[in-house]
Amino acid sequence: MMKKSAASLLLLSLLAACASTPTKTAQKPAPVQNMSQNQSTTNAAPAASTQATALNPFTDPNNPLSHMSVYFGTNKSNIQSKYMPILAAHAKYIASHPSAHVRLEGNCDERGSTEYNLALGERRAVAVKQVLEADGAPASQLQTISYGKEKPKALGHNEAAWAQNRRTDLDYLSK
Amino acid sequence: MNGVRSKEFGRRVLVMAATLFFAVTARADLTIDINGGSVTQIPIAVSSFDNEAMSPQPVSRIIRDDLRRIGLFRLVDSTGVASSMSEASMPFDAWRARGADAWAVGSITPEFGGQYGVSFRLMDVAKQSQIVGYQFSAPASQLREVAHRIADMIDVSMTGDGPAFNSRIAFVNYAAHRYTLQVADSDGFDAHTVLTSKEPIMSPSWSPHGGRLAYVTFLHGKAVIYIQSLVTGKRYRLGRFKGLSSAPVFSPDGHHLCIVLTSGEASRLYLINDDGSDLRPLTNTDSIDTEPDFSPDGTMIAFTSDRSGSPQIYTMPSSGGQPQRVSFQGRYYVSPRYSPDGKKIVCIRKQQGQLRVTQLNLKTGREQVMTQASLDESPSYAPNGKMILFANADSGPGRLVVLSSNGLARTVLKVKAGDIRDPAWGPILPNK
Repeated sequence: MMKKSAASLLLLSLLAACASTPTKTAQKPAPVQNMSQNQSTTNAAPAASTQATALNPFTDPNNPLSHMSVYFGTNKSNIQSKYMPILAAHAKYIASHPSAHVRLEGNCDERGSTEYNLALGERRAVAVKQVLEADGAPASQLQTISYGKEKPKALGHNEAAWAQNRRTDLDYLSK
Repeated sequence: MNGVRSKEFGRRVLVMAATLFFAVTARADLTIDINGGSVTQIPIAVSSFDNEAMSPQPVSRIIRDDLRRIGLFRLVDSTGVASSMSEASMPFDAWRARGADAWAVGSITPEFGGQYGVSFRLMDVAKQSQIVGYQFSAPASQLREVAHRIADMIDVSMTGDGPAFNSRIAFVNYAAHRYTLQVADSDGFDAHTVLTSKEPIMSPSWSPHGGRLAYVTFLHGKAVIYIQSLVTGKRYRLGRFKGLSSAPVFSPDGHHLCIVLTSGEASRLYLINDDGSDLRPLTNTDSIDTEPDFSPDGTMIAFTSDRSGSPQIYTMPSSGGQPQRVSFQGRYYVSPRYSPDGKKIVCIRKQQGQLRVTQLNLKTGREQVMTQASLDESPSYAPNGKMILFANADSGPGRLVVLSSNGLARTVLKVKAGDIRDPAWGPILPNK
């Protein structure tokens, strides 16, 4: 119990840090840009500065819930600590919205074999699922799938493209 | 199931009449130094066949292209030398002057009923005698197959190797947001579609006699295995599993498969009957074990595993037992496929960040990186082991490449434009 609440406190402070200084992180530029672009495709994000109305947390770039992708190192499936606040926010949302169902979609870059990447993609999806569950999201609201290297987001044949393709997407089937 | 299996036969019926003499000659005068070893190429001339201009298919060109692709022959220029099927007027002096050890000559004759008669003779230039000869009768639609069979007869009689050219390849072509599973002749011609889907198709694998393909589709929203008859087109899903099922490969007897089931973090090897019954686990660690391949005698299975921390190639008895690691020099190896003699494994090795076709000699442990490429994938041997088919994406979309196993010849196959992946070389087509 002690341990868990300490962890939650830590996550909360990280979350606060993340929400207040969204652009001041040490993340590589490409994935960060991409994470916010991910939402703009489904919703014309309102120019926020002067609007007084409540923003949709999934499209407000200042809200961690707007980040729908977790990116990985080459051939890696461990989750970097910078994604923990984002996943904690999603876990909290999922736990407090019993109707929410999320499909975790693991992907890989084009290098390496189809089959190894299929397995690696599943591992990346499961890694995210484990963090969400540890943060309180019920397993019954989560599912995983691997697309291996079959569904690249970026089509280039270079590290910038590959970095965007090594990821797990959180796909809300329902919110 | 039995119905499907019993229908496993070749697609084409080839009528042929024939006879002849057969001798193995292995002489060569061209020696090339490659990778520190010496490799010989047999100088051979293949004349245009009589009446070839009237033929629906350029038979002699198909034969020459086959012989070039395998890297074991040096094609001697045959322009300007009159060809003749009759020994009395054969221009042996001209071939000797051009340095040819052997010479192939032939003719194509339209026959009654739309058939074509194709005869050929392979001559020993020094002895001025026939090495092998044959006569075929085939419809226009089978003339390419006749040419590949002639190329096989030439190759077999000159080298003592088994045949390779009269076989087919399978691959996945991704174009216009659609995945198409295709089967083509070994030279990439006559491609036809087995399956089209908006969802990914992966990992086609041949049954031992070439009558069926096993492959992976996402038709049910996740990776599942299907087996499809190329004769009837009928397909069925192999088993029902909670997680992903993938990487199917047939046993040499065709009655069962080795597959991979992925659940949670672990991907493990299983054996299963080809009707989906009798699932048996082969590996049980929490690592990724995938891409199994049976040794030609069926006693061993090679596979990719990252149980040591990075993907490496392992072999283990197909009856179960302790896996042995067989790749050591690099940190990343995937996609093992046995050579037809079981002595080598071809795979992809990451070298200086580049993914390259590599041969592992199982006896000596020697590794031979075969290309200077960046993005090779999915290698497999020709039925005689003398060529390696793989996909390469160095210049953008994946292309099919055939590399001779001696490294001397590299050919990009011409297939319909698209992003080609997951090629697999099938068995020799049965004679009918």
